[in-house]
Amino acid sequence: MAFHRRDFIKFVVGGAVGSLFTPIPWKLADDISIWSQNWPWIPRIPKGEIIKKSSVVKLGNTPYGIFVNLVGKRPCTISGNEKHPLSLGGIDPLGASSCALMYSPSRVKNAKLKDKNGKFRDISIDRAKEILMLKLKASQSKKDSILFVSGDDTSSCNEIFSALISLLGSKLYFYEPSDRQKYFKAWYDLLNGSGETGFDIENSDLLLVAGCNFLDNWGTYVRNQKLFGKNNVKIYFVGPYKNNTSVVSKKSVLISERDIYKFLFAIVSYLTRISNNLSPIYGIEDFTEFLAYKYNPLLVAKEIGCSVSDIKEIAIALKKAKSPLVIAGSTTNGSGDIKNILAALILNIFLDRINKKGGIRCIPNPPQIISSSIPHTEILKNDLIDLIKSKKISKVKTAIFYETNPFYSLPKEIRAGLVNIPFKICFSPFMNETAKQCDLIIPSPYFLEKLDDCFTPFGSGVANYSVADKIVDSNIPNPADLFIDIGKKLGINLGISSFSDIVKTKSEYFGVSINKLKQGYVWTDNTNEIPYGLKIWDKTLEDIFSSDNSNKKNGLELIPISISKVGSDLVGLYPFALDVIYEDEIGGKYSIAYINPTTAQNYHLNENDLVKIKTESGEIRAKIKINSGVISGAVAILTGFGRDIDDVFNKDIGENVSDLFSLKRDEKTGSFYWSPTNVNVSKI
Amino acid sequence: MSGLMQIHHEFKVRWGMVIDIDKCTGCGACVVACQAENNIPPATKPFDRLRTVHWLIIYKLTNGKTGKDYDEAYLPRPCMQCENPLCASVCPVVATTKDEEGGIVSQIYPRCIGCRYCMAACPYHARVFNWYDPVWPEGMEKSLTPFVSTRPRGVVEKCTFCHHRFQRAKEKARAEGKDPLDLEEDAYQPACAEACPTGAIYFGNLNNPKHKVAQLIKSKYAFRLLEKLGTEPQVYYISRRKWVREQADNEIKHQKQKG
Repeated sequence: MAFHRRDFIKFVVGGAVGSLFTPIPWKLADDISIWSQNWPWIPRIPKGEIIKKSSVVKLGNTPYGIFVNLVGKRPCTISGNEKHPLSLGGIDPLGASSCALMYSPSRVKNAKLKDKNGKFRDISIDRAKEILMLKLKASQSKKDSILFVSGDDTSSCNEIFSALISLLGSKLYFYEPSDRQKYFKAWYDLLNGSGETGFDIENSDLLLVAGCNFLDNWGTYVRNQKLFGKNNVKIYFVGPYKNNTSVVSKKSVLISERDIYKFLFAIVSYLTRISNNLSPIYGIEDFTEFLAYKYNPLLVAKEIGCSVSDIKEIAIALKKAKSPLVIAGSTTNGSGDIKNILAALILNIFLDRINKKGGIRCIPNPPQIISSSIPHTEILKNDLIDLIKSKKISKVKTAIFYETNPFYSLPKEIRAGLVNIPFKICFSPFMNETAKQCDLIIPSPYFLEKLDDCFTPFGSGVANYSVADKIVDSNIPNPADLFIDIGKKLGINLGISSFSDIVKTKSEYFGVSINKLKQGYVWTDNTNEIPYGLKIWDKTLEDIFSSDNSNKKNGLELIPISISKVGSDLVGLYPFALDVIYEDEIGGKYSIAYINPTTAQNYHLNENDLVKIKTESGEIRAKIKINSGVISGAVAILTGFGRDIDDVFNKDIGENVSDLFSLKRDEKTGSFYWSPTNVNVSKI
Repeated sequence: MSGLMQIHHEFKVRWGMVIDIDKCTGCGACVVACQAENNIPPATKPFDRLRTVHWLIIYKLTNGKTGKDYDEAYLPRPCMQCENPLCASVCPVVATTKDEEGGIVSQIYPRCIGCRYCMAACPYHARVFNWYDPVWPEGMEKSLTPFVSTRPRGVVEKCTFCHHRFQRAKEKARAEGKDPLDLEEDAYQPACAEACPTGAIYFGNLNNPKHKVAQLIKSKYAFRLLEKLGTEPQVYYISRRKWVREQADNEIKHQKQKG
């Protein structure tokens, strides 16, 4: 059979037309496109039912309730728990990334002992426990030779740790320095209040936020954000730079952090002039007299560089509001002068906002289950910096750090005091700066890997108690259980056999079953404890506010900026942090220093200039960014960088601002602070 | 829009977003929630544009003034899910289209040939290209979600309003005997809207008067980005600050206006 040209054309055209109508090539093309995207090195997604479990995340500056979505046994995403009073359904970036963070390369999974060469080698948990026990035993005969610093001021584990420490003869049990401690000192010691201060933001219609980043890192900030959005609360902001709170505030007045109390007192001074009836509270007459000559709005405005109309506008807004609330705090937790907090509390007392709807509430102290433990209020009174500055620190032979990172966040002077302690032990879920400084590292379970509880974190509106169950399997023992075991071996009976015992007893105390709490229910208490003998003014307070620490204005004022998206002291930069930190926030291995155009002109600095920022404590390098949201004569720098954490997220990013902090003591209150610090800036 | 190919369907349901800029603190919870939910690998170096993938980013806006008049704001930018999606009209392989009830601009990864026409066409820079295969730091791939497949090198991706959540909500409605095209507001919320701690991100059916978004878009303070292009985004913004609204159309100072 002959094959002619016409046959060939018919074959080709027929083939082409046929292939258009047959599904085979299309199906093949489709399959190829799918196959070519399924290479073995591309991660496969898990399959399985999604299970939702309740938990309490404690990675950031405040604990709050969440739901964890698990595929099988693996946690994959986090969602908010609307019924949890500390979050009201909100989450923060660190919480949102907490499932990925659980698998972080910086996790401590084995116990480690430092050898003579300063290198860590893995040891078994049992061996670590043995070493810890020997150190505790050795401290038995020497009073106050053991120091414990806890990074969690809400957990019942503090009862267990402090009970054992105190029964071994040491009262040196501390929380890391914080605004909570400053509020407690101001409220309890200086104003005769009772319990701790609570903030009824739920019922407040106007907030005057002074100094702190209320919506991003102050108190229960996830709850604060939710309430701000939900209730359309009007916020007036006073502080040294335009932070996340200021961005959404009705009005912002930018003044130095050291002048905040003066601004607040100028408001009171103005209000006393326009108010007919003043609250009949102890000391009110002396107070108004003091304000009249010392904090006259005109004088204050001139001194601190704001306008009188700013003071008057905010004062009138506070007077007109139904339930105003004044909140003050440090730019970074615990760094600021107690006077700002004290002045804010006095302003609240003046406005008659104590134990009122939308005002300050007195929160009762947590129940104490173990009688030999150091009460929460006693721990709040203990000042770690005071200890380090005293001779007592030389007697300390062993320090134990529980889920805290003072070697990163505290001023160098404090770090130097801690580093000299002969033997240091750290319980940490992450290999951070403090872990690296210690001689023995004992892994602490991640928050999803342990049973934990949480009683009323700082900033709460009412007393509350929640429980987080262990929802991911782990071999890492709960440090609280470890302490109970060691106690038993040392012949010390703490009265409980496990950490779950104390949680169960507390649940019973609050009248809620532990299982209900594990499922996400939160016990809350709306009853207020009446403050005893609350005063607004006396000679002590007059002495405090008659002195002025703000005269030393050499160089520029350092404003440390702390924001939640940069992570926390404990964790560092977390997975996805680099996705939310922007180019004007990271300068590669240098930090970013924000200065305003006037300061830039005065110091002959331009955008992107590389500078050295120096204090007597240390120096860092930074790139200049011109930012009009910073007060004149100041330099604002983001904290949270310059970490010594072994993972891909923290490597070579910025420098540690806390190296610059210089410690100061307010002589009248005895309280330490390191913000603002004066710095010298010079071009490199 | 004359001269541009238009893909415009009328939908009974138009999922849309209203972002209240005056409530946004720029905290970044929405971005992290989006990345975690949609299996986007975490960035390991700052601003490595070749390796970093974002479906949602936050822009910082400033009013350019100094002293007391200085002001700033944050603007989260997901895919605008335009009613006239320029990306869909240029896609040669129909990998991106707008043809499903709900009005979400799809992105079908296996179909994508990586030509990046859509990226060039999108005036909002909402699309990203995978120059490399996705990599999670060792061990972190264990936190992948079952919701969205991981995308390989050579594929364009973008925000889908968490389409898997839409599918789940529809399935749930069907199982409960409800109309999947008449979902309640809370039945379907993308990860970013759910995570936003200040509630700045509202989400719902723009065609359903019962949904808050339908009311919010009528506000005199509501606006859309680059409205003059006629893309008709389904993402709206609200700001009571005039200077913020003025920046939405990217007007350049002293720009000569035509007509």
